[in-house]
Amino acid sequence: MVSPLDPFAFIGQFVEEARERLRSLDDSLLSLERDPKAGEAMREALRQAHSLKGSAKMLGLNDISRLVHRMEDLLVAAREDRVALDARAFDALFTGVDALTSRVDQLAGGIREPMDVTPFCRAFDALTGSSEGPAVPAEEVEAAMPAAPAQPLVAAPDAGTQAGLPRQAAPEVRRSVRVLVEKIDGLANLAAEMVIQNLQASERAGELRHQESLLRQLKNRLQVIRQGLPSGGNGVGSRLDEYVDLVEGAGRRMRQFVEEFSGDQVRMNLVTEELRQTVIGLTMLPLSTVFDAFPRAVRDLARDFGKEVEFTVRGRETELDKKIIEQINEPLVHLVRNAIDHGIESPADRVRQGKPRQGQLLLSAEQQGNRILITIQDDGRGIDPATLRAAALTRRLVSEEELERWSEEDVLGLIFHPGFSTSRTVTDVSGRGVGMDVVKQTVERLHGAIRIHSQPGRGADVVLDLPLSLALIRALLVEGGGELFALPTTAVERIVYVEPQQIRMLQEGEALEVSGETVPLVSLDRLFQLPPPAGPLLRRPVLVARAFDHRFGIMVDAVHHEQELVFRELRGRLRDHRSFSGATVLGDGRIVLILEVHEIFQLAVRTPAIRASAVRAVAREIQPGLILVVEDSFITGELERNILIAAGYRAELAHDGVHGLEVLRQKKCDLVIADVDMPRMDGFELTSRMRADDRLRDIPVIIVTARESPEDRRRGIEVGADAYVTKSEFNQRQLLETIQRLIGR
Amino acid sequence: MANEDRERPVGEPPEQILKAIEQQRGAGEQRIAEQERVQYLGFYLGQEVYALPLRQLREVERVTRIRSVPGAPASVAGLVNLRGEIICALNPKAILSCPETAPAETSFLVVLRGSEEPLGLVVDSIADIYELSPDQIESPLATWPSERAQFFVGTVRVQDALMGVLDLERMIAP
Repeated sequence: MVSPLDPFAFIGQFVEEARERLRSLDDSLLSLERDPKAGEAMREALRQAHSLKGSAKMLGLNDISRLVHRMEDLLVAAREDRVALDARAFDALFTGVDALTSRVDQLAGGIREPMDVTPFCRAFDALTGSSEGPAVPAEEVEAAMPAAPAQPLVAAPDAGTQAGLPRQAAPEVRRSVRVLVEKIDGLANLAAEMVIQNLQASERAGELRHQESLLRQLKNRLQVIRQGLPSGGNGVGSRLDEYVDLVEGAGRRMRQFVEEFSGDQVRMNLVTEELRQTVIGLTMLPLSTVFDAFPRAVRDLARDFGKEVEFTVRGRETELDKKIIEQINEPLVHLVRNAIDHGIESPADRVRQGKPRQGQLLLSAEQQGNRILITIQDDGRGIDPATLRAAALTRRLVSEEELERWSEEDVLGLIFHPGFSTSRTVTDVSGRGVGMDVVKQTVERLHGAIRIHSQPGRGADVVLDLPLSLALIRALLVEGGGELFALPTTAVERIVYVEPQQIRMLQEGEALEVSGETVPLVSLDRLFQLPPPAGPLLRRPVLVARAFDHRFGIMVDAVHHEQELVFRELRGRLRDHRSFSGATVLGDGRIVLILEVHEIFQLAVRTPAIRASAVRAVAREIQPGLILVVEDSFITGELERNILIAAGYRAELAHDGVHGLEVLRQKKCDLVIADVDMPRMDGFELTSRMRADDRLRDIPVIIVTARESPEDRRRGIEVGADAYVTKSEFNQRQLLETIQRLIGR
Repeated sequence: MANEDRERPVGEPPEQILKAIEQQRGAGEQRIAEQERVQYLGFYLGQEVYALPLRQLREVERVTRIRSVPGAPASVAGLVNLRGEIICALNPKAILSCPETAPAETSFLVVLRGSEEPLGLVVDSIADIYELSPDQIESPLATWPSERAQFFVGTVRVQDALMGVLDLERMIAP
């Protein structure tokens, strides 16, 4: 299903780009004319010419690419001091720019006929070739130039412009404006700021709700006092009645206000979120800008490799951050090339295996929530784990006994190893370009992940899992050396809790065993020379991360939670500060630095000089605590479960007390978080039953409930709960601290 | 919020300084050139007063929190969140190799105008605004080592004390 590429669909875009490039080229040439030694101007001129040539070539505008090519040759010759850039040379270059400009104007006006560039090219050849070929007399060059710069340059009389009138481009159909990226970034910052302000307003609403509940309690107490006093008369009793009414009125107004305020808040949130999404959308481009070049490339590659391929593209309208689009082409080209070269068999082989002659190749993109999945799928020979194993052993990448423990996924991951290739014949194409290790690094730099599935003999698919936008990333907020840092969740495999005796001190530094593998360990505070956490920490969380295909551990003081962050680039003098890919501003105004996992890994192995494979030690991985969440609201339950998992615990969900008891009897839980109001058996009942059961008696219980009255609180303590948290004062930090206090991790 | 408002008057730059900076915004360069006299913002680093031309400054803000950046060069004090904008705060004491004094209770961020990235200088406090004509500025003291002298346009005698007039471009050159 190779859809023909119509180059003229892209003319509008090309015209816009070409005009800008020609303007820059013109400027650079002017600077060069003033100072022929201006290196920067020369580089810029060459860059613009080169890019223009490339774009023109892609669209089959051979007249333009030919002419630019000659201009480029002349500039290169000048840079290498083979030719002096004299007045004649500059005249020729400027004439070239003029000719190109008028040609681009024609394109904009819908004229497709190419112009005759032969005389121009001959003139440039004469200038460039003067040092090598037979010398060309100056007059000849001048004669060859078809138009002196002083004369108006209208190559085609039917150029859509009327004689006598100045050249003017026909109005373009594209309705778009060019905006500096910085302006959009500024807008994105403001939108992010609005989101943050809104969060603060939401917190204020929570405070108001709390005040309102205090008023209600005050009224209740007053009423209790009132009941103890004689009714009627003009004594204290009647004055108390008055106060009760006043407090009740104030409470009512407050309640109404809070409700209205919350309503405003919800609407404001919706608008802000939409604004933010729209702003993010400003920097998004459809994948078609990358995908549309593939049908042609696949056709050519298939011919080169002697394969027959039916190519399908899906989801080309899917939009993605421009910064990701710019970097994703090269990995995709490599993966597609791999699929054709190594995946799809020759037609004869396919027929022998009973497959259709034509191999199927699919390039597709789809959005899933905040992520974009790009899949390259073929129905070729797939990746044979046995071949990979054999190749890994021949190259001594891994020992035999270690390889036996590897899962299929680990084995498939071998192809990302630098310098790993299983192709028996080294072809001219697979020898060049980026390797799979570079593909992986590129994807990871974009906060993405790469997955491979393979069915030997039936095909393979590679999935690139990318964030929709680099402006927003999901990250874990962690504390190290008393400062907050963020680590993109895509880099983290899991969180383990480690006791000091589990850490192996090796000559090369510290290491830790994580599911049978010994990995280097680095602690954030020491890495950044920050103060160690205060007080003795019996267990410290370690983020098990992956970089360059190596696992390693990052020890932190605390893991706070996972959240979506607005990514900001570090600019200027901090741009090259590789440990941090960027920064973000939290709701309370604090700045958090975002860790760049590859750099942290390199620092980790550099500082204590650990080589991941050289380490051998034994340590036991501690299972994180299992917490049972008993909650009938699915949303609340999931929320709590996610908080717990983000904090490094394991968590199970039960939908009421009866279900909760069932789970408790089957699994060894370390703590229970229970709601009060639930069908079948409420949280109080569950707690008292647990306290009556010998095996469940010692499991700590935290009650999280909407019931705020002191009586309920008292009842919670009476039935044996260890902590009582009301939903209005619920915050995850407090919850996690309570858990830590109760089970000590 | 309320607490912060109450705190504000303490160590806040005097009203007229803020006003002067405000006026500089959008003030034509010609007007300054006509007068020949240029306005400078004087600020303290430790016990010494330094000055920068007001027209090179965007605003002065009290610093509440500086986020240090581990591994950054000594000239970078850290990052400051100024109404949502992340500003790279430079430490002029490190750049000018001044003795590092104990951090002042209130320090200020002098935000620069027109730098490629948002930049600011962390200073201990604000002294005053000075109007100086070019002939008042003497060349840097010959006794200064060149690694210090390079950051100065010159010095000015203000009330028996010597004030260093800084060359901003050199100071912020990476």
